Amino acid sequence: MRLCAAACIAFIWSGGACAGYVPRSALDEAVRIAAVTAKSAPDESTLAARLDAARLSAVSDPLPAEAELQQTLLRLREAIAPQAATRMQVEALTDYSPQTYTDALDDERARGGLTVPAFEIAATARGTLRRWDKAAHRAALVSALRRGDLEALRAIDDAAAWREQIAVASDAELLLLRSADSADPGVRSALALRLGDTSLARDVLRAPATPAGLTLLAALPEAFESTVALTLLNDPDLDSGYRSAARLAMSRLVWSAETQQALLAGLGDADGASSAQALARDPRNLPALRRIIADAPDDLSLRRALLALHWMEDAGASATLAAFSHDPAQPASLRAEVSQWLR
Amino acid sequence: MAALSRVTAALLFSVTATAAAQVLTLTEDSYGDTLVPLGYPVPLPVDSQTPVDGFRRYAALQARLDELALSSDSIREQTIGQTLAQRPITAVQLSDADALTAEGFAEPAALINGGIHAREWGSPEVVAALVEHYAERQNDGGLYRYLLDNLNLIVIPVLNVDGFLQTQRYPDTFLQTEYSGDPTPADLSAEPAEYRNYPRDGRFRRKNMRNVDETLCAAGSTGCVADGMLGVDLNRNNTHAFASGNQNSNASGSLVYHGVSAASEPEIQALYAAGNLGPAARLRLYVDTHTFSRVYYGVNTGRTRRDALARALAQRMSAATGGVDRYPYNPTPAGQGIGSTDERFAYDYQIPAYTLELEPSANGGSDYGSFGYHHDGFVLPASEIARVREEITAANTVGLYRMAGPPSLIAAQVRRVDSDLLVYDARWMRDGSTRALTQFGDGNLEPGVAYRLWLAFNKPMRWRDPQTQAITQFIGQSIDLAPQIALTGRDAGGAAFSFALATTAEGWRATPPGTSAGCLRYADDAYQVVFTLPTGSPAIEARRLQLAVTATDFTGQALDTNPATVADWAGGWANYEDDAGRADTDVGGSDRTLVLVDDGSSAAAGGSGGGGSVGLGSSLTLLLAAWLRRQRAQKSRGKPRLQ
Repeated sequence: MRLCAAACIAFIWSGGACAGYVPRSALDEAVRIAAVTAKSAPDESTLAARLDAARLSAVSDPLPAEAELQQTLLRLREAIAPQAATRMQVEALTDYSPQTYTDALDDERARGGLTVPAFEIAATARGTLRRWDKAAHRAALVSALRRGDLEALRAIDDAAAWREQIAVASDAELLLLRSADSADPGVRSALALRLGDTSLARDVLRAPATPAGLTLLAALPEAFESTVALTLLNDPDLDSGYRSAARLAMSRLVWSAETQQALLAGLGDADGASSAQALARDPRNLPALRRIIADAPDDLSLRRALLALHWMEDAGASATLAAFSHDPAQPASLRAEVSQWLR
Repeated sequence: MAALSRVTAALLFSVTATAAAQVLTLTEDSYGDTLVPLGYPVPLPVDSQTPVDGFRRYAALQARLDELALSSDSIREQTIGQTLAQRPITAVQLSDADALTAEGFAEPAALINGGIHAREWGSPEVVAALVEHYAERQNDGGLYRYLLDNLNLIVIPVLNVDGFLQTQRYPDTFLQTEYSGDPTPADLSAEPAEYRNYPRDGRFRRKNMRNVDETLCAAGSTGCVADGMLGVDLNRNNTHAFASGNQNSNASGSLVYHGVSAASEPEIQALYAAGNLGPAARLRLYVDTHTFSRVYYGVNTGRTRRDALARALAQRMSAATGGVDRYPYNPTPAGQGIGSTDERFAYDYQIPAYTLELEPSANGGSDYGSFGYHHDGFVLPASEIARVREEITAANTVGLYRMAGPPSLIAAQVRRVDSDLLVYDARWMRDGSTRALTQFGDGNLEPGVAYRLWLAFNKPMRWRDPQTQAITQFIGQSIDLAPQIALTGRDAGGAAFSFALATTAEGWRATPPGTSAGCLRYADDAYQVVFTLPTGSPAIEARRLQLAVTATDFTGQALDTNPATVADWAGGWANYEDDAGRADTDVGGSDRTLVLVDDGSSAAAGGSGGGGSVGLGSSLTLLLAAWLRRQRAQKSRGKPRLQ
């Protein structure tokens, strides 16, 4: 499908026109007719029959056929338990190559005619299948949980369905799901949050960073008691891809001297700027930052403390920066930078 | 930029949507009346300063830039304006402190913009990645140091700050509406029909926040203002072709509302202010980064050379992403326009200027297995952005490197291998706004003696694989990795000769300047070979003997054949001579300016010779005495080096 689209786009750019090109006005009418037809279908069998017919007629008359394919697929999404034959028909459409092209709804359209498939048949078929699959997997999960069947649970390889089930599972079901020991980081994260399982959370955050792990990390301050969350966020074995986010997440913990100390201790390291931003989010950290600037334990810590004041929306922080910029004992380059901020 | 969407699903949605205006929620694969299943996880902003598999929250992204600026002498932040909500708009300047190239000429500039359209989250990530990439490599002594020293690069990661924050405020929620469902604009007829039933606000806000509050609100809701359609399309608010073409609207609710007047919006004024940091007259490249459709939109201004160079450059940049046609070039015909930023920079400065549409392709989220929602192309899966960052950083690097200027051969030395004795030394030195050649040595070569030839250029000429340290093609480029070196001239009897020099390559020089057989200024700006002339070679005791060097930079840009006149940009390359000595062809050629033995017959053999005789007569005389003194000193010390 993409190859065909690309070829057509290239052809249009070279000044030609695709064989399957249709203007928008023709599309509007085709979709209207197809939508009415799809809605009027009394049952799944009728819709399935129309899929077949439309697919065949797409060869000779692609515009109305593709409109009907699309509308019929959408209507079929409502089927609860589709027949095997219907499913096969939809599966066959997931690699459908579009025949009809039109202008993109593109504000740059005047620039030379970016032409795209008029109907996303394959994508719509994917969506229909996914809706069916997920419903089936959710049902299977519920059934397996009711039976306490660990092996059946493990056989259901659908992380999204798992996550949805985890969101509504009882405590006993959660423990069963935990025992199934899914390797999916999204599932593990969801379980860690629902169960308050620090061990599981730690494992996820020590493994190579994933979007799901980042979601878990962002949820820790609310999901765990502050001291527990601090331990997880300040774990020295955290994957490097999580470290900046972990420092920033610390700013959402209930303020404490321990959290402040953890952030101050990290000011001079590779993620010190993230510590600085976390510290900047609470003016109660201002006195400690002032001490860092006065003591200047090392150049990096000094710079990050200055950044923290720069980011802190607080008059006291600004006053400290102003004093720094006028202090001839401070490094000239830093004073110049700070003066720039104050302007 | 591109409010690109597939017709299909837009129309489908008009069938299934019941209300004229709806607040909808993106989901991975959950279905419902107000749910829009994408087919992949919905990315949420990540509170991380460092790059992640995802899209960073604005505050963290900005903090990252602050940190990089504070920790590097080559990175500075400039406040270039304020948004309507009085938030600062920040440009990052990547450059050394002076405005001069390493040779002392006026530095060129480039401007790369991001985040003009709020919902195009890939853009700030990609533009910020350029800053991060260069910051990490600023002390590489090679390509990146060269770019920082010789170019004033201005980068705006997020221009439409207010709008971007609005999309991050509602990362999975948006207002979609048909026009009739929202406040009716004064001039409904001005709205192009295809912009109806579009997502307008929340995650899919495109415009700035003029006359818009931060609440997402459908018409008919109580307790909030249904202002989601308002705002100005900043990519229609520009001074060139303002309110022109059919992709504009003067209706304030339109997705492509151009505003009350050209450059009325503070964001656009800030963009122009950023260009002035160049300064504007020194700009050579502009890239406005958008999503989606994977294309370099461009502008033909009607100047043939500029237009051809802009096309060639786009193709080079595209190649760095994985193929010449991966990001095809698609320029607006000359004379047409829509009021976009690339048009403004293209016409006002006659430079290559692009609207770069990141991936996905025009197929939208289908490229990643989406379920076909018409605007899913604006929601790049989090798992894809790291790759896109890398690809576009490579593409931008190609553009910056190429527009930094064509290569010139600016120094050469010939030494005997056995004694390291310098027999020829030449260097083009800045002389005001031009270069003057100084060269000394008798240049007479003996048969059967091995000589080492060292050639140095005004830019790093090759790319070195960071892992293996081997010279290799820069991503997507394809060039001859070794220069071609020939000797031309007239033999002892006066007959013309020209032959390729048989050499043993010692390769591009990565060792620092000043070290044995090192580079001139930057890693891989110099190349070294060993050669031996056989008895009977016409070059032995030649009346005239000159080098002919053919090489390209790593993007395939050939040598300026006359280094005396320094190449610059003037709607095409100026002073960039070809083999015929013409400076209006933009192709360059072979350098024949270095004359080892001079019989006074300028460019007697092998082409124009360019500026081969510039400054030679007087400087040769003046330097001969110094060279002889140095030779004596070298002999007394054993194996001297001049580098």
